Amino acid sequence: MIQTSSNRIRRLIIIDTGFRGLHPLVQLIYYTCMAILIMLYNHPYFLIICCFVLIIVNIMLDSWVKLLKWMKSILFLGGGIILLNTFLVTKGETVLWIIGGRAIMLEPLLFSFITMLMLMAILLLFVAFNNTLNGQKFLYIFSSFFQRTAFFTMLAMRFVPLLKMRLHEISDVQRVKGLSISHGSIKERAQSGMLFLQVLLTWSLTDAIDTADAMKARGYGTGEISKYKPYRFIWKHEGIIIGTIVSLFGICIVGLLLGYGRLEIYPKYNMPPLTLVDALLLFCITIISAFPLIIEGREALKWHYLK
Amino acid sequence: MEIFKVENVNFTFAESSKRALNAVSFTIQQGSFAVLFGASGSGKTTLLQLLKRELTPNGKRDGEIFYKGELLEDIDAKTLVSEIGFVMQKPDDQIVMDTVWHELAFGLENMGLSNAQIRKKIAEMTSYFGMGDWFHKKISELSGGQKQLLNLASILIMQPKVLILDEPTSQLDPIAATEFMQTLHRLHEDTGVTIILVEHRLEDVFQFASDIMLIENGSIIAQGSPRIIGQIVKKINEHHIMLEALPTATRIYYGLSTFTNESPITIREGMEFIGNYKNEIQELPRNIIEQKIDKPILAMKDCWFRYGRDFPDIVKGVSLKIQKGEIFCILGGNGAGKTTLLKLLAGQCKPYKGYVLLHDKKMKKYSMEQLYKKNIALLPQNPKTLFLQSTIREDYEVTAKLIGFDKMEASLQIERVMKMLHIESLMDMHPHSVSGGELQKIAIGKLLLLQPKILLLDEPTKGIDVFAKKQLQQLLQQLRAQGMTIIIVTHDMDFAAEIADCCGLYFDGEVLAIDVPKSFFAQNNYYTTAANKIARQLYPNAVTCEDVIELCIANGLDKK
Amino acid sequence: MALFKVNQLSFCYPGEQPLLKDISFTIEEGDFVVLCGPSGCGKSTLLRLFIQPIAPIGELTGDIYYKGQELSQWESRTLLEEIGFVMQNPDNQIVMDEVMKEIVFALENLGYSTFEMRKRVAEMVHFFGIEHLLHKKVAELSGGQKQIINLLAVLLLKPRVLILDEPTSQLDPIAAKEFLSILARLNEEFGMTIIIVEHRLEELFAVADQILMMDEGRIQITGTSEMCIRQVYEQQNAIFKSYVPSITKLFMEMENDYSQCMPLSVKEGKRWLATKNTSFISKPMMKSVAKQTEKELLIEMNDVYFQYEKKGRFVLKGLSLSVCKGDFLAIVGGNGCGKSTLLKACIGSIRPQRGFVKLLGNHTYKLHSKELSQQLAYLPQNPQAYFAHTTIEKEMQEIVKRHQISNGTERIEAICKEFNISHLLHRHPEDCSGGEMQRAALACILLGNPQLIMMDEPTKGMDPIAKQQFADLLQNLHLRNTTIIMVTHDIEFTAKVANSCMILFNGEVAVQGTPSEVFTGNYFYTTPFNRITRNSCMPEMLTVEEAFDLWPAQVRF
Repeated sequence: MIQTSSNRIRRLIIIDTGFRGLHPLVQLIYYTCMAILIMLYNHPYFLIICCFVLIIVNIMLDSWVKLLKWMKSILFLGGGIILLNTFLVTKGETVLWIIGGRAIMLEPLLFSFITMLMLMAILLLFVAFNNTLNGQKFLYIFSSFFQRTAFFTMLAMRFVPLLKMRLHEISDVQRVKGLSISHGSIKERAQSGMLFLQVLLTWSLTDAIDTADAMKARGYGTGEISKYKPYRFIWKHEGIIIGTIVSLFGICIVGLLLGYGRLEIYPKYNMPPLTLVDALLLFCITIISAFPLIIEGREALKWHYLK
Repeated sequence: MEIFKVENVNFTFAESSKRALNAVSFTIQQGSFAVLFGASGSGKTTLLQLLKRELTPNGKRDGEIFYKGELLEDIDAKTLVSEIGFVMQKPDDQIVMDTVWHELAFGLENMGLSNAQIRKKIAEMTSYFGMGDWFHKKISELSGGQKQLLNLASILIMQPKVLILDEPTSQLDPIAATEFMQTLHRLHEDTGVTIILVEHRLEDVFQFASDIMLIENGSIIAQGSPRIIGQIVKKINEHHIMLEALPTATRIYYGLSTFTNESPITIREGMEFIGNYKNEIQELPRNIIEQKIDKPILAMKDCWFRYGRDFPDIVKGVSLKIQKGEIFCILGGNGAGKTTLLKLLAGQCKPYKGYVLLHDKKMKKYSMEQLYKKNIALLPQNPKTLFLQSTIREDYEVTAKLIGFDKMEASLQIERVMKMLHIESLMDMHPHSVSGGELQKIAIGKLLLLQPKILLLDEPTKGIDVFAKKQLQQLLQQLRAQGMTIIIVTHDMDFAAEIADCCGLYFDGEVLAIDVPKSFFAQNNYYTTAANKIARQLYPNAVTCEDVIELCIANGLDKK
Repeated sequence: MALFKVNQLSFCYPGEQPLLKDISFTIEEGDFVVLCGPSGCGKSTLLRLFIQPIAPIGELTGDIYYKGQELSQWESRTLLEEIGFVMQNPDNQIVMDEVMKEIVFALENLGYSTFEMRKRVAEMVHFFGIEHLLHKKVAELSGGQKQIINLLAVLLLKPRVLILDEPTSQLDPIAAKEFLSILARLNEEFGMTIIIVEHRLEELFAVADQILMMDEGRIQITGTSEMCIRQVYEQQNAIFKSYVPSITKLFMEMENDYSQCMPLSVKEGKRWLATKNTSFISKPMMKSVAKQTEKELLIEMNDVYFQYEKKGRFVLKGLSLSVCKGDFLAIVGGNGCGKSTLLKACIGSIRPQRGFVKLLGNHTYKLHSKELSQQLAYLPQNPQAYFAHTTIEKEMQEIVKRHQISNGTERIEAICKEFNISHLLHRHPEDCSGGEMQRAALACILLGNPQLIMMDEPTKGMDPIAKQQFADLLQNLHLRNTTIIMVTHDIEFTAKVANSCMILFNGEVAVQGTPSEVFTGNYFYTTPFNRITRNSCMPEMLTVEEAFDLWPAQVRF
């Protein structure tokens, strides 16, 4: 019985294990730190390692299908940027080739290459973000700080599907009356569309009065609001994780401030040799980006031993 | 019009010498709702099976059974099949097909109806039973309650004149049971079909029924309408055990004195009846149990559990403390949650986070032998799975050997257990051939041989009658007096209210609201015992039937 | 002590005629009170006066006492917790996007801790058995489930009184029954006082402890169910007679011996009929007329298969249907049977994956909206989706222009008179009540003199009198040879007006024929009156009116 229902469950629910199962705030801290580091560090070694690790993270999170879709467009875009930048920009000092009278400089090539890396890393991060921290959890974090905004967002999420359904109904009815947005001249279609929205607005506003009543009848606005907390935040557990990420992040930022991790491109390309500090920073950044992998790996080990 | 008339029927099973039914006589009017109740083994099922020719067991039968004025034997098979419908106890036993659609069509196909007619009837039935949501599912995906509704629908689709049901809700959880009963009631009202029902849970049924019959040892000893059946039983025996099977409102009524009017049968009527009493005294001076020192024998600390990496969490951070020598009840919830919790406590499953402490030592540090010999014993929901030998005696002897008793010691222990449980007469039977309540007793007996300090019971009151429940209650109290710790997972609130020292509510992977039964039930509005619902206005802390009766007597009538 | 005591209550909105006039009544604790009356009599306003935060603002005289103290003197928080309110439209009351968040909304507003919230939800779940709904999104629920969630959200506050304003009028019959049975359980097992306004009273008369019949702002009749019905017949009050259950109508009109117990439910009705033993002449059943080939085929659906998503299940499976000129076809079926999809296919909003749908020989999905508007008219479930202008008059004028109707103004006047909406011409459609909006929409549709009208649940939420008027309207239309296709849940209404019905199930036609062919002998798709007359001394009939026709032929017993 467990076996058959397990297959069903696997298909139905995305189980919150490992990284996904962490408290949303922890996940948010991870993503924010990573985003900041990617944008500030521009040494290709760092960026390449980030990209590489993030690709593995995405594979682990089962989002590589989505990733592939994006990758094609990013590579295309990235390739385009590199070509354009290299051919059009003539700043810089090191000359690589001369093609048809134009000097191809190393600096713009390198710069566009690094930009592309950065974009790719951000994209990879974003895909992972989309997969793990869905709308609900994100909203949950924000509702602690911006209660009203979060509340209105939740209201919007409730009403958008409803309004969509109503709009369908309206367009069906009005279609039979002779008004349609798929037939007729542009002007007629636009007019019909506006009319539909107007009907939707009137309808929804009228019904919203009832909604307001229902809210008042359940005590909205009478006093101190408490919040239902579906996720548990245990300091001992979550605190350690947050502490680790933040301290690693701190080390990386300090390294940046001290001048490491950035490459000088303009006016002249200059790559200083890697020092020990660089190696340390590289190590830290690898650990931070590989964080989800570490969490998952720990889980996997645990389950392996439990068996 | 009389639809069934049973005259002086005796029945003996083929291989047995004892009479299963003894001079049974009654009539059932068309359109009535008759309820039959009695202890396990009293002959209820046999009687029902005699009314449906296809299910009649082998044996010798005297007396006559008339259906619509004709002898049952003389009526042709086709009429009988379509006019008398039978719903059995176990939902799975009756279903033959693999999809809902086919199951519904089965009976009609056997009757030779055309495709169009079948389609129309199925459309009807599905809508009537509100099955639209799960109509497309496979049978294996349905819950117990849905399966039982499906059974009812597939019989009803043939438009029978009589519906016979043998303990249809005993394997279902309370919500599914209530839903089933309400559907049955609605059916009866809308179609006027005659219903003959055997049930243990009379709380829901009494208000719908028109005739009640009490059967004991093969004879019908009491017969009457729901409001006077209590009186009739009382006349036979002032303290008849079956009086406890009656609805709470009726029990309170008869517990208060020998009223001779019609008794209240619903909660609302009970409330009105209680309203005649004063409510100055709210608490009874009882033996105050000395505060137990907080020395838990079994504790869970922040346990998390799931069946595999890709499965959802079933137990989410549960922390529990169970004191030595107390009876702890875990209530509520459907699905696997409570059973899993019990398995964690028994050490059969390991949590992936958190730990279980037994005697202040982590459970994983115990070996299997240490755990299950003279320590913990778990009674599963289906006790049949415990037995491997062909007679109970053999099974006990094997168990005794396993635990390391020598021959002398073994027979002594077996004697002791037999005496405690009064199962001497069952010792030479096959474990699978005893009835529900007896099966439970012999299963507990087997576990007691292991001399456990902690006994875990999974839904022990499922499908057993009032008498067996009472015996179980006494047994558990006896064991507690001997110092055993008992943990029970159950749906049965009344049972928990009577017996528990501490109750907890299981919900969504957590155990909430852990408290003594009094406060546990009193603070809930909806999830509480029938007695509490009746007495809520006057005595909010009264949780069992006895509480209410005592408080009423102590307060006296309100002379308004 | 009475739970509620209303003393000479009068109310009027500022600058308008008095709405409630001198109302007095009491409600005991634990009662199941039913309030009924025609639309516009002031029921909703009366109910809302009990709920302080949403009480309408106007001139109020008289008092309302709750547990002996005036309502205004109670602390608002206590009242919020003790009195719960559920409205008519399931969607309008829901605020959150997930079920769990919605039901704890009230608890959050009142500042309860998460622990307390979880405890209360745990209790509730074990009583109602809704564990499977808890983690769903609101958009996935059906109407009936949404209304139950609304009820739950209110019950979590542990109220002592539940006030409900037509809670089942937007629900299909199964969901309505389920909802009412939950209410009955709450009243029965917990002694919860229930005050409910309803139009469909067939089931409620048997359950109610007290009935309040309201008309024109006054309580005209009050008492137990039996007392009220007797008074209604004594006064020969036509308005309230329409609320009386069908079997009781038969009893009151035909029975001489009033000492007999008045039947209020199907069970009691059967019992009463069983005491009669006369034979009746069987009424000939209306048989389907063989199709005459001269009749013009308006709509033809042939072996239509349709699914909304590529891998989804088929909503329509091999559906075939033909509607000829002058037919009045009613389509009934449960939720999810494909009724609305069928309508959509007929108006061309969707294109079937297999098979075709033709209107006057043209595929519907190909038709331009202008052509469509000439050939058919569509009255939607929600009249709010129909009106596009600020007054009804403007809407009508627009229609006149679009269809180029000659003598536009006269047509408008004539139709308004026929539909009795002349006084509403200058109003904004949303300012009208539900029934008025319905009538106005129908009037607008008929301006264009369509030959085919499609209606989706036209009688939703209508009170009995309005329903009767609507039935007359439709019958008039039918006589003028307008073809009507009506999708509905209301079997009784169908039996009165339609000449051809169809039961849709699982995307196919389960059965088709005249109402008596289709609805007799059924468990579910039938009227309560039919259930009573089945297996009784009377021949099976669908409506009380048929019984009236038959009865005088016999000697009154």
